[in-house]
Order: sequence, then C-alpha cells, then structure tokens
Amino acid sequence: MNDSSKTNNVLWKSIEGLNNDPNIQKMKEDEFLDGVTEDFHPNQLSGISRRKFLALLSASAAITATACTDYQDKGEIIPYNKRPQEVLPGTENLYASTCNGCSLSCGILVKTREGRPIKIDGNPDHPINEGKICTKGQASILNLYDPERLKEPLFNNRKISWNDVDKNIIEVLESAVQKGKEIAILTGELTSPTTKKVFDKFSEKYPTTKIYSYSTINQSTRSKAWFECYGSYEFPSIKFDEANVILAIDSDFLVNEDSYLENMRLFTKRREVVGKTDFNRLYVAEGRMSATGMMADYRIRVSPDEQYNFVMSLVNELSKKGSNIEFDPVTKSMVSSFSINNFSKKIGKEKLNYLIDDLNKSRGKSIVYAGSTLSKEVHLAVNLLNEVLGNSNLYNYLNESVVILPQSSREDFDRLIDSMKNGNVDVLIHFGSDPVFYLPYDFEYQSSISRVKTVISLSESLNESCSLSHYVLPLNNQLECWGDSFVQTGVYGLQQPVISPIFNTRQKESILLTWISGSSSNFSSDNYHKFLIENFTQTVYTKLNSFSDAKRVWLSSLHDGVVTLKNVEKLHKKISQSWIPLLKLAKENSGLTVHLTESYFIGDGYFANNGWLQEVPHPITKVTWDNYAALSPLTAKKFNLKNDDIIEVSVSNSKIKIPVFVQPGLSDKTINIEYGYGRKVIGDVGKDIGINPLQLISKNHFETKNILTNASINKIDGTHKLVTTQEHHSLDDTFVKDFHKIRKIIQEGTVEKYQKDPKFLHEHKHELFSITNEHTYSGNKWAMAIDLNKCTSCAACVASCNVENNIPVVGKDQVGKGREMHWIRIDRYFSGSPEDPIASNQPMLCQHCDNAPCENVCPVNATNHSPDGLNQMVYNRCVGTRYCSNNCPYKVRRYNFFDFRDHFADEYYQNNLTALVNNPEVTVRSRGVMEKCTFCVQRIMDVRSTAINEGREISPNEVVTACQQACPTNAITFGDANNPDSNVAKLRNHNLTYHVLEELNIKPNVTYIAKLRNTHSEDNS
Amino acid sequence: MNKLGRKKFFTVTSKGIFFTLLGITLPIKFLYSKNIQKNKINIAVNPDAVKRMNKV
Repeated sequence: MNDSSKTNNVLWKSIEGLNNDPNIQKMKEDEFLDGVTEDFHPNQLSGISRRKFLALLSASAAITATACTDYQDKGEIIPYNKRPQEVLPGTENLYASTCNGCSLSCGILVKTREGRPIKIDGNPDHPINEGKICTKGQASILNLYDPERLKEPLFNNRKISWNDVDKNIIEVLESAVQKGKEIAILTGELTSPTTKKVFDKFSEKYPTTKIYSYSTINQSTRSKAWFECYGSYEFPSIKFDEANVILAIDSDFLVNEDSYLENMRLFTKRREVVGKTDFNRLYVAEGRMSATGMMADYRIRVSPDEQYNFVMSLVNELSKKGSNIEFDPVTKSMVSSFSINNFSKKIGKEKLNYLIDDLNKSRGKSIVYAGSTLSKEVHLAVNLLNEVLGNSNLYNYLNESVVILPQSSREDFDRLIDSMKNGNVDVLIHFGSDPVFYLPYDFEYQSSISRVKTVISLSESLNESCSLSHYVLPLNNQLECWGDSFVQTGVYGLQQPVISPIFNTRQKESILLTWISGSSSNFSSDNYHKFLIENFTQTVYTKLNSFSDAKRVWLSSLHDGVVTLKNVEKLHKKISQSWIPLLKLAKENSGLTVHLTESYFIGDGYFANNGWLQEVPHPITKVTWDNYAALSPLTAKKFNLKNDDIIEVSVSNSKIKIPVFVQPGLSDKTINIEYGYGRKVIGDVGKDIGINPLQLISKNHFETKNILTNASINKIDGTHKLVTTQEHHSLDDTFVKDFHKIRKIIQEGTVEKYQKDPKFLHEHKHELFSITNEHTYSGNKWAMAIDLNKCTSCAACVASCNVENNIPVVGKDQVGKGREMHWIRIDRYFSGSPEDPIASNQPMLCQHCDNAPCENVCPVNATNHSPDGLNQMVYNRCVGTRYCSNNCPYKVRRYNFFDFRDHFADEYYQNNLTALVNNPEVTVRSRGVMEKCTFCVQRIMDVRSTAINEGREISPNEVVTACQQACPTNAITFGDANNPDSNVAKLRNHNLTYHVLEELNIKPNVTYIAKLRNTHSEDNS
Repeated sequence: MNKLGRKKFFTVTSKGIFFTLLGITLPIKFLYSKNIQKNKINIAVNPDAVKRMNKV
C-alpha cells in the first residue's frame, strides 16, 4: 500500500488539484496575466507631432533636473578611525546568548557586523538545541529593528521621562502598601531564576504584592499529571533516539511543541540512511494534520476529545498481553471497561493491529507521548500506558523540566479579578505579558482594569493590555538584555546584550530593581547586570567547585553562553494508581471539537508584527498572512463549504467568524484553528491579520483551554481570500497525465524494500547522454544534498535564508500573485485519499544546474556559470526580461516586480532602523532584477579568502550555507563535490540519491535522498 | 502692443518654470538632508558583553 510506485501514483497538492478544478488548470496554463501577451498595434496609438514631442521632452527634462535631490544622501560618512575596540569593519563578531522568543530559551550565537546584530543561529555548545534554533528564533532579529517598537515611556499616551515614571510609581507602590491594597504582577511563563529573585525582593519590599503567571502555551497539564503519578511537577525529557516505536497522541513533538529542537535531533538519529538503517517507526494519532503527522509512517485519525478513551483502550488491550505493573482489582475492572473495538471501525482494524503489535513487541523500547494541548486525563492515561509497556528507561532523568513559577490557577484569577472589581487592587503591573488578549473573556479582565488605580504595562511594543494602561514602559529587545535561563536541570543558560539599547528603553528587571531601591535616582543601566552576577556567584559558581575566581568563571560562562551543571540522575518511582478509579469512560461528544493550537510561526501572537514570519508558508496548508478553520473534506462537504467561505464557530456562549480551509487528513469531528492571530493593537504589519480564536475560551475551559467540545458551525455570507503558495511554482504538467508518475519529482520507498535491494531506486534509470562535450570542473565544485528522510518542513531554512540574503517582505496581495521572494521553498505533496493522505515534503531551491536552461536564454548574459559550479546572477546586468524564470523547470527564480521595501505596507521596512538588519555581504536588490539562491556565495567567498590568507586549501565541509546551518535535523548538506572527503560527495554516491527532473539532462547539483517509510511488509506487497 | 512670438513664449515659460521649481526644490533638499541627520540611529556595543573567540 505504501510502496514507492503506489505512493507516486497520483501526486496532488490540494483538494482542488486532485479534483481537476478548472481554476487550478487555468492557473497552471496561464503563466502571464491577462493582456500581457496580446499583440501590440502601433497604428492604434494617439498621434503627436515631432515638434510638440521635442518641446515636451525638453520641458520635462528641465523640470526633472530641478526636482532632483540627493535622495541617496544618507548623511555624512565618518571614517571609523575612532572605532570601538571590539569592532573591526568587515569582520563579524559572535556573541553567545539566550533566545527569549518562547519558553524553550535556546542557546543562540548572534552575529554582529559593525556593532549591529544581523543574524541569530544556535549555540553549538548548548546541550539542548546543539547549534540549532527554530524558524521564530531565526526571524526574531527583525523584532529588534521593528520601526513601531516602543521608544519612550508613556503616561496616558503622552511622553514622560523615566525619572518621573520611577518617582510616581514608587509613590503609588508605597501608598498601596500603606493602605493594605494589593499590588498584582502578571507575568508569562518564567524561565529565569534571577527574575524570580527580583520578584522575591519586590515582594519583600512591597509585602502586598501577589505574582500571577499565565501563558497560553505551557506544559501545566503534563506537569500536573506527572505530579499525580510520581509526586513531582518536574518531568523528564524523552530519549527519542532509543525508541523503536513512537506513538504520538495529538502531539506535534517534532516541530511545534515542547522541546522540539531536541526532539527533532533525537528522532532523526533513527532516520539515518548512511550506514546501517535502523529506522524507528512513528505512529501519530491525531485529529488535526500536523507537521509531525506528515512524518508518520502510520497516521491514525482520532479526534482530541476521544484520545483519552483511545489511550485507555490501548492500556486495556496491551495489559491483556502482559504488563510491567500490577493492577489492583478495582483498577483492573475500571481499565477493562475501555474497548478498542470502538475504534476499529473508525481507524481500520489493520492499522490498529499494527500499532498494538508493534507496541507489544517493543516493550521497554517504545514511547507513547501526549501533546501539551491535551487534558490532564490523557496525560495520566499515557503515563499508565508507558508503565504497562515498561518504557520508563526512555525517561531521561538527567534532564528534567524545571518549574520556576507555577502557572496560576483559575481560582487565583477569580480572586484577582474580584479584588480588582472591589477596588482592592491599587497597582497592576503587566510584566511583559498581555492578559487582555490572552485571558478567557468571561474573567471580565478587560472591564475590571478600569477599577484599578494605576495600571502599568511593560512591553516591547504596543499590545491590547498597553492600550488600557496608564503607564506604558518600553522594554529592551532580547538582544539588548541581560538574563539567564534554567529550563532543564543541569543546563544554565546566560543571556547578554549584543547591542546597547537603541532607544530610551529599559530592561524589565532593571525597572523593578529601581522601584525596589525606593528612589528614582538609584537607577543605573547596569543594576540588573550586577544583580545577575551576584546571583550567579551565589547559586551557580558555588556548584561548579571551580579553581578559578568567580569573575573569571562568569566571563568564561558568558563566552560559552551556557553552563552545564553536574546532575544526579533520579531513580524512576513507582507509579501511583490512586487516581485511576477516579477516571471513567469519557462521554462521546455529539458536536464538533475545536482544537486550538499554537501558530507555527507567530507563536502566541508575540511575532504577529514580524513580516518574515507572517510570510513563511504554513508547513501543511501553505497559507500565509492568515489563520483559518481547518476542516476535513467530509465535514466541508456536509456543510457545503469550500475554501475561503466564512463560517461562524460557536462554543457555549462565544462565537467567532473565520474563513474555512479544507484540509486533507483531518478527523471529521475536528476543527483546527491556530491562535496568535487577530491582534488589534500591534504594528501595521500584524494588525487585523487573521481572527483571534482565544475569544472562544471561557474560564470553564481553563484547564483544557485548547480542546473545546460541543462546538457547532454554520456557513455565513461572504468569503475571505486565503492566500496559499501551494499551487504556485508547480512542476507537474497536467497536459500529459502520466508524466508526474514518470517524472518522479518525489521518489520514495520502504525500509524493507531498501534492505532487500539497496539499489531499487535506480532499477529503471535511463542512461543520459549529451550531444556536446561535458565541461570538467577541476577545482571546487559546489553541490548540495537534501535528505528527505529528515526534512520535517519546519521552515527554519526558509527563515534563515531570508535573514542571510536580505529577502524582502512582499505582503499578502503579492503572495496571492505568486510573487513571494523566498529563495528556498518547501513543496508539499499528498498522495493517497483526501481522507487519509500521505504527505511528502521537498525543499526546493536553485539547483545550480551544470546545463542550466536559464543561462542560455538571458539576452544580456546576466546569469552565467562560475568555474566552481555556481549559477551566478549579475544584478546590474539584468534588464528584467524574465526569460530565465520562464525557462527554469524548477520555478525557483524570483523576480522583483517592485522595490518591495518601498511597496510593502507604505514603506514600512524602508527606514534607517530596519535597514540595519541587512547583511552587508549581500546586495539589496531593487526593482526589475531577477534573483535566486546563490548557494550563499558570500559565505563561500569568505571561507575562500580566509583559506587564501592562511595559505591552505578549503577544508571539505568548511562552507556552511545559511539553510544548512539552520536545519535542526541536518537534512541539508553542502560542500565540494570534487573533494571525496566531503559529506556531500559521499551522499551523492548513495543508492537512494536522485535528481528532480533528471531526464531533462540539465544536470542539477542538488541531490535528493529518497524518503523511506518504515511500513509493514504486508503493506509493502 | 508687442506680440510675444510662440518661440519666445515657450522659452520664457520654460525658463520661468525652471527657476520657480529650483527655488522650491533647493530649500526642500536642504531641509531633507537635515532630516536624515535627525533620523540617524545611534548604535553602540555593550562594553560588558563578551565576544566569542572561536569561530563556529
């Protein structure tokens, strides 16, 4: 069933494409807009005399000459002869720090040029992310240069000095304490132990302080379930690399949940095709279609509200075949009430039998993992299942999660809001958080704020909470901050500012320390830095037992960015079974289930104003600049819905109107909506983009806020255009039906077939010959290899390329016309049925073909070939005929139809501040030129010049492209194909290699390693 | 009354437009350059930050 030829049978990108929608056919046929290719008749033009023409010409020239200003004048050029010691013009500096984009707190290395940060990559010394960061982390550099960042403190929307702010607020705080009124601080998830200490000191100074913590993305249900089972809120990480079978229960653990960078790395260790193939087998049971689901060998559709019954049924079934733990009679009777037969019909007996069989055979070497959006009951059931299977040795107790400040409960917030309504809260501080946007609507937080005497918001940019605050205090960006992080035991991360604050902003801990001191004159920009060093010396330095003094250890720790602390591995405790009888068979939900998930690239809304992230296509739907309600094809048919239709989703008393996207592979009862969108108070880029589905959450859903049952939908009038990139740049040719089978754009196989016959992929390979003499590349020959077994479509490569190569943001309208400027894209193909599709991902970029069809057709020789195998682009020769793009079979060339920096959002990114994000090594392209992937030629030249200076050859794997550096799974390999010691040369000779559209004989230099699916032999026959 | 010929009319008109526009654009250019100076972004390295010595 999953044989390569059968999966390649019909490749389709969308439901419309599969159904041969005439609009899609037309889009593929019409490469050019209407009117462009029509004939031109000079006789039909209006007449003008020669004299008049010359007169007008000379007048225009005279006017133009007077209107000319020095528009390129950027001011005085001052020689850098009094430069800071650390800065050498033309060379980069690297600083280790920690990313604050989310609560994972990955270690980062920030590249700066001439004192300004231009690129963020992972810190290779950090044991959790090991040199990789996510898409959000890559693009987060743009937040530092956001022109709409808060620059000055505001009081009732008027500028105020920091001195006055501190004076007034200290007075207000002291008055609140005297009157016995509450001072409430609302924060997001806390990852810094030093910030916690600041809170403690603040509470000491102002004893009526109460701290509340809330974030939409958190691990609180997992943590609470772990506590019930094992008596600790701190749960271990998972050794995914040691698991033979993994069952993910509505968990996007590979791409968007928990410690996904670490998970991706560990998981893909068992997807190696070089050497011995020791593949793991991934089952994903989910209601939505996730990127992890796309990686699955077997995907099972189970609605999130049914997951508890599903897992308990597996417990029952597998405990009959043997159990690592003893059940008492009450537990046994309770477990036996769950029957797997309820799922056989829905899922299919065959898949279910495979799952049960595999889990049974891999006892002690498998793992069942639940998603963080699921209820505590599901996590309890999963813990029980892992115990039955004896999988506890896959728990890594050397790296446990750390809870610095537990999430506040519903009761805490009820008490706070009651206090606010009764006027018992005098001061409310939003500590980098946005509760007006995030808190469930029926807490009535927004209306209660008006009863608070002084509301203070500390934020980087304007948000919903700031709009209701008296004081809005601007914060430093993460790259301007000192800090630390402690998210896993044994790993202490450090954060340092790589640039001094650009505007009149302060660090939030620094603001609190000033208020703690009791006087505005006590502020110094260094106060938190000193506090951090003091805390480091007292807590971390003492544990290290170092022979060096504290200062030296501090400086070396800052240099490394991380301190690894010795950890004692805890013993696995016996699971408590006291909670089991309390859980009963969950009632079936008659209505639909809304599953709210974190946006892949916007997070919880923090990155909504980041143009790069809004424009990266969604890994599954390829939608940009919007969110939507994803429905299964059957549900859409039932309600007579198609893409872009608007529906009203109702849950209890709340409703939202949102456009529909028909998503293959969804469970028929599930509606999947990503949050983070629908921000109303934010910069121009993110304002009114998408719909905010958090409005559906009521305080009754506080514990399980992501799964909303008994939902209903109804179609309403109107449509909303959703812009997707999935039909753009199509390679498949519909004119000749079987060509997409023969062309083999995606080639796949199974592990079993590969083990039997490693050369199966090349069985029917045609010999290619050339009628011309082939050119021999004697020196370096740059090439790339992409392993499709490891690509998870996380799009970190896309974001990294955008940052490295100064890719402009084009906006929703232009993406709708196929004009997005990404040099690398990830094509996603489906095969199989729309209900149960199999997904294949393929990063596509310029193939740097040896016989490049684009080079021959350029009338001005703006694109040519370098002696080291690169297809070059000379921007200043290009006159914009676009013939090269026309001729490119991979559709990877991007044309600047506009100067997008001028064109996008009224020159939003055309300003002195955002210009600082540009990489000075890469030309910033203007209107009318073609551009494409250059294999990071600037990095090649940098390595070459270093090698020449040092009098040596370039090492085999020395050049690292931006996409390769960013890829968390190392799916991308780049190097010199002529050097047999390079990794890329070894991969090019692998049995699983193929080239896309090889039969065209254009000799692409990007080699793909075919994906192997680890399916059962019965499916493979 | 002196009649102004077409040729002279055109010459005078274009000269008039030229000098008028020059009189408007030159001050604008002067003010624009000043604006650039005002919009300069000052960046500075934090002196307490520790640079990585080894290249990755």
